[in-house]
Amino acid sequence: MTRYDVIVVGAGVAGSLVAHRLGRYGRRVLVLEAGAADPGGGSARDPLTTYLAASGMVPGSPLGPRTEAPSPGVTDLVGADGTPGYRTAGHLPQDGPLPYASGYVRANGGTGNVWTGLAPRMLPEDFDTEAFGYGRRWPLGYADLEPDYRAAEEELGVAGDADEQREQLGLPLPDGYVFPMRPLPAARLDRVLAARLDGRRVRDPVARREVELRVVGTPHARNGVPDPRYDAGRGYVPRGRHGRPDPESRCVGSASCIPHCPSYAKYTPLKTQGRWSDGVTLRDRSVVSRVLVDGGGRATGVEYHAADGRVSVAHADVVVLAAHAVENARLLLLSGLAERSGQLGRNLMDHPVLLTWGLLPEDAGPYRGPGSVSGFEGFRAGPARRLRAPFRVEFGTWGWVWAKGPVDTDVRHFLHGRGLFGADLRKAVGDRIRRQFTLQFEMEQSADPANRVTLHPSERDPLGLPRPLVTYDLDAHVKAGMAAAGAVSDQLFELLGAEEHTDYTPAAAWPGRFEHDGRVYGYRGAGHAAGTHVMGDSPATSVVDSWQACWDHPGLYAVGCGSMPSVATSNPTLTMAALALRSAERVEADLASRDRPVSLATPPTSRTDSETSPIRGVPE
Amino acid sequence: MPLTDESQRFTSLSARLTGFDGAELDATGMAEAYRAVAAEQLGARRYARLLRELPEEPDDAGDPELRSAAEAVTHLWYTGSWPGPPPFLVSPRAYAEGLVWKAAGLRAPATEPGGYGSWAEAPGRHEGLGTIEGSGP
Repeated sequence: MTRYDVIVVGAGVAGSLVAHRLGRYGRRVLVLEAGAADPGGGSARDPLTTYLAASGMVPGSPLGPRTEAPSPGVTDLVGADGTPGYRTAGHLPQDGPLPYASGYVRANGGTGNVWTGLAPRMLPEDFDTEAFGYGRRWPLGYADLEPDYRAAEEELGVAGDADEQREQLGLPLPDGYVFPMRPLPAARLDRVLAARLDGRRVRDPVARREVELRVVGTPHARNGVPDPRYDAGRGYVPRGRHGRPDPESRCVGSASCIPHCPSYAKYTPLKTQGRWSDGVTLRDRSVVSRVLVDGGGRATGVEYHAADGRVSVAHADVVVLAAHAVENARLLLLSGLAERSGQLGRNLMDHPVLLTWGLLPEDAGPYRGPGSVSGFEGFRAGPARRLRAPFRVEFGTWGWVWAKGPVDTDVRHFLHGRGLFGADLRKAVGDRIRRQFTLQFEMEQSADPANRVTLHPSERDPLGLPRPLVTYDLDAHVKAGMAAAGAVSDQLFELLGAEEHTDYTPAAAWPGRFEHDGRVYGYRGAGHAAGTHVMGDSPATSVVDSWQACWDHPGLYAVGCGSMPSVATSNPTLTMAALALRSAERVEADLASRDRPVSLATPPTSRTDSETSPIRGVPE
Repeated sequence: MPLTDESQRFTSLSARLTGFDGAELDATGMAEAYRAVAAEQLGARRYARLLRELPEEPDDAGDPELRSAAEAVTHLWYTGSWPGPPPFLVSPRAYAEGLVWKAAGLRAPATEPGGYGSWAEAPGRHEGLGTIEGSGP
């Protein structure tokens, strides 16, 4: 049996980056991925063909069906009349008052196959919301993570406007820093909104303050035009489909970042995998069922169900779990590990997204580029977050697809609902689609131990392993954020002269629906699960330390959004990537110290001390 | 492929249903495939009724059977999918050629992208789009 330096469980964004970094250091890395290596599911069809041939093009469309490692499906969660107002089926049963409305993908590349590609940083104040009276404090700050943010922006190939991020968000980017690529051109919708709204003010009735509106471009992990100033004038070369340099690769506006980017301009973990060294081995269709530890609690390897049906074991000095927030927690629970703090599986967070939608008086330019290019950033920071959840406002440039489904819905409305045919139908359908836009208010949800992942007492997956069970709700802080967002949306529609079509019916389409102060709100999940193996500065209150190392188990790491003590208002992939790269450096340091000749003065157990030392308070 | 009388009738019917003229429909390359789908899914009797009995103005069709057949064929042209039951997409090509996109002056996502930065502009390659009037909710 081969012994590895490191076993990485899960080949998504975090796992692929950790494996890449360690492979570059010459480490022997085994990556065990539950899904098939080719996320298209086989030989005959590429993901684009699979996607285009699918009825109802949902995020999973380009991915082949999986049996051993099922993922939550789009149709698994359905709204219902009554209490609770939803029903679940499939891999992710739930029993909470409100639904956790996000899925994830168990295939090579993970959920990183189907992300939007938006890559904003967190704000410095996001690392300590306790100062605002809610949530949990990170055991590290923005300044600690800053170099890793830059490294992540290089790995993911981020296009953005550094000056705008400094001026409009107050982000302390280092002097002279520019992103690898120039910002993407603003969408037509962004231009229309900027012309109408920049400099106008809207009232936040919850925080009782006014916010000045400013359309700000969002950093994207998507190939654009390289910035020649990057890396002290060395520039940046965009990476193509397999991660190899491709200077001409650009986003061409396919308007299908989810579920599939046909031009491979969007970053996916497969690009990082294309750069793996020979020391990294991917073993796909390998579902890890248990983490193995020795008598002292040190990780020694994993047990997994291999593609040939056999249960196998692999050994390594370090085990890195990178299988998504829900599955990481499930795997630790299945292993009976990391439970000392009582926080394992708890603090499940997401970005609940309030959607509002309507028709502009003029052409909105929908379905022509990335799903969102710009947004409003003025609701993310400051004392208002004491009173309500902060939020980012994304401009949705794919019509009403997230709110109402594909454009077939509009055809059905006019054809079957309104009885239009011929020229009347053509005019009505065309007019409606051209003017469609959506506002997507992404709420920060704070860590609440009651929101959690446990093992289902009776339901088993096809391998006989207990399914994860999710218990989830939204607290008053988030609901107050939704109320503020709803009021802001009303004013934006008024200022735009837009025709409002927001409507959270029928019940089946809105499993995430609640009433608050007499108004009904419907939310969707952003697919941003966090918090399930929360990091902190004490083993009594957290599952992992600031390096994402499990307090209780030397050599065992749990990386990914599951470590985040707060999910802030940024789409979390970039922060997750930065944390993963930071962890990889720590793993390398562990292995290097193992490789060093044993010092007579240092007993082997001393490594545990260094692994568990909190880094908070380390001078910057 | 020689145009049969039936093909011509189907295209002429489709033009009335969709608001796109025969040349626009032919340009999609989907007419023959859709004719076959409609004939098979509706069955010979209903298909023949639709071709022969649909009124000049399709929304005058008071007969529920005629009406639902007309809606299904229109839905097929606009979306590339037969509405069912069960619904199915005819082909990737059918998705790309859905009239819903052409009605809006757009291309179907992932099929014929406009190029880097194309999202900054208003659409309008397929139709002269002047001031757009509201169609009501």
